[in-house]
Amino acid sequence: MTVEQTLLFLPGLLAGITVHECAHAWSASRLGDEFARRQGRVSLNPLRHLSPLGTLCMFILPFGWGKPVYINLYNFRHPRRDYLLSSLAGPVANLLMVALCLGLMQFTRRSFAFGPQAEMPVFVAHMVLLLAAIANAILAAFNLIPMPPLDGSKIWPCLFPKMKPAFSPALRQASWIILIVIMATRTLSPAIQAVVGTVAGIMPAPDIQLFSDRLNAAAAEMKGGRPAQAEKALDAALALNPRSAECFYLRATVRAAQQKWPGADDDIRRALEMNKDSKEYQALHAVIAQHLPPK
Amino acid sequence: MFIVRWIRGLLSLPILWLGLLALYFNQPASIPLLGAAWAVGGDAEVGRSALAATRRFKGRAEALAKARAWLERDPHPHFAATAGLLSLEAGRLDEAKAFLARGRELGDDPMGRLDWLEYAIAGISGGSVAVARQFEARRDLPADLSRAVLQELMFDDLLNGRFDEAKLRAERLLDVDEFAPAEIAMGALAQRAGDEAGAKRHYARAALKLTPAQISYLAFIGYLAIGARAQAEESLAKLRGQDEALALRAEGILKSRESPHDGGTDAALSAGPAGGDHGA
Repeated sequence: MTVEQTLLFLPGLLAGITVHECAHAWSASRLGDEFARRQGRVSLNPLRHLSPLGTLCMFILPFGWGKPVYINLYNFRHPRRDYLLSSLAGPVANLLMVALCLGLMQFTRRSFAFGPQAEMPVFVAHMVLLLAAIANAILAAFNLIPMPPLDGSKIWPCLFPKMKPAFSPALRQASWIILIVIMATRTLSPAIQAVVGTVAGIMPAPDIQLFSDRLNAAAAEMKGGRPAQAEKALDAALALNPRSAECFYLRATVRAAQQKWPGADDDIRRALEMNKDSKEYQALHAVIAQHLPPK
Repeated sequence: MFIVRWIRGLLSLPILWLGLLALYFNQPASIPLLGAAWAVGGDAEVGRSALAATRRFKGRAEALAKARAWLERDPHPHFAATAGLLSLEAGRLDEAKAFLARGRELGDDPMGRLDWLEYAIAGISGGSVAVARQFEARRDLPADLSRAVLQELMFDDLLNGRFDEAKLRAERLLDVDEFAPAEIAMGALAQRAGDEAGAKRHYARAALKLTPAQISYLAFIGYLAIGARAQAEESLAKLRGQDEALALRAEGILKSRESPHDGGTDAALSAGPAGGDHGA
């Protein structure tokens, strides 16, 4: 990841960890165990949940973790069921964050609709939401691995009647080592990539990306000598962003190539309205003007 | 402020890991390492571990002196709780009570260390069942303290003939984890109901987790509870050869059964993990 990508990724990861740990504490409190609340963990303040090493790793890997939420199973009315629910609360909260991010991305994807001033900030917000959705999906999936200290180690024993919900300390230590080996050897990379791919597959593409794709398609058609198709691609690009002088200029070029002079004239005039000083636009305007019937 | 705390916490981590590693391998080097980790990171929980290491390798007196000094330097409930438990170990009940009062003045005790001290003081003062009853109603205690409270009340029920309540508490303990004292209680209850095979099964499970002295002690309580006096005496005789302190406790229970009841069962018993974490 580049520094810029890391900086865009961090807010989502931070929010994901905070919401995850808070969800464990909140659900435990709702189910009768107030020990996590006593430790101040029923809070959306990230500072209450960050661990020093987990935070450092956020900048280096970039991935991190929070302080564990201590739960007292003896406070639950139904220890097995309630421990299952409070353990599931973290990953479920991350999945809700994914859904929230995807919902908000439906607004931020239309960055052109917010006006030229807000275009870039909205696009940045879209990227932050996109990376937040990915971070939260990874947090949810990774935590389901049945290995202490991950939530999966608490969830799976609750599902099997013969197993006790509490893990033995020796097993906990051993699984830390296994977990570090797994991380170091990147054994889980394919699984993580599959999660990222699945989430990316359901994400709405931002208008900026679609616009850029359509411009690229138009350029390819022009290069291939298919001006009519290029014009269609530019029509589609302008439907997304009707404030692009560059796009009007390109369509004027394509229309001129097809000898659609009035249309080309309209386009180059609109391009010049937006960018009067461009020498290229002025030159094309002069060429098109020669082919127009005298008024 | 957070940034400063975070940097301090981060800088203390390598020293903390080394200290914990040294402690794991039973090395006295853990004392200065954990002490340094506390001084750098400022985490009172790490300071408590340093005091525990001091207690283990240098003895109670030195650990108590250090706890007092640290409490002056960094007034934190953890240090008050640790100093109180060490005073209690030394048999200085009034001093332990003073540390408890000091700790309560210092404010928040999110890990419930002062609750442990209060419970331990009650245990020494003979009021552990009353405090256990108060604590049972609370929902904000750490898991190890809740387990000790349940264990105390379970044995109290057993010794006072409230067998149904004892069974409910034992089942509650076993719902969460394998817990030898609860297996002993279940064994005694099974034996009382004439289910010898069931009793054997429970005792066998308990035996996996306990030292021979603990088995004798808990078997003594179990037999006493179900009125198997001869077997209780037999367990007590065995216990005298295994652990003098536990035998004295058992004799105390026996005396209290013969004289008017003073409610003194034993939650501070270091049987299994329940009593494992509350010392300094």
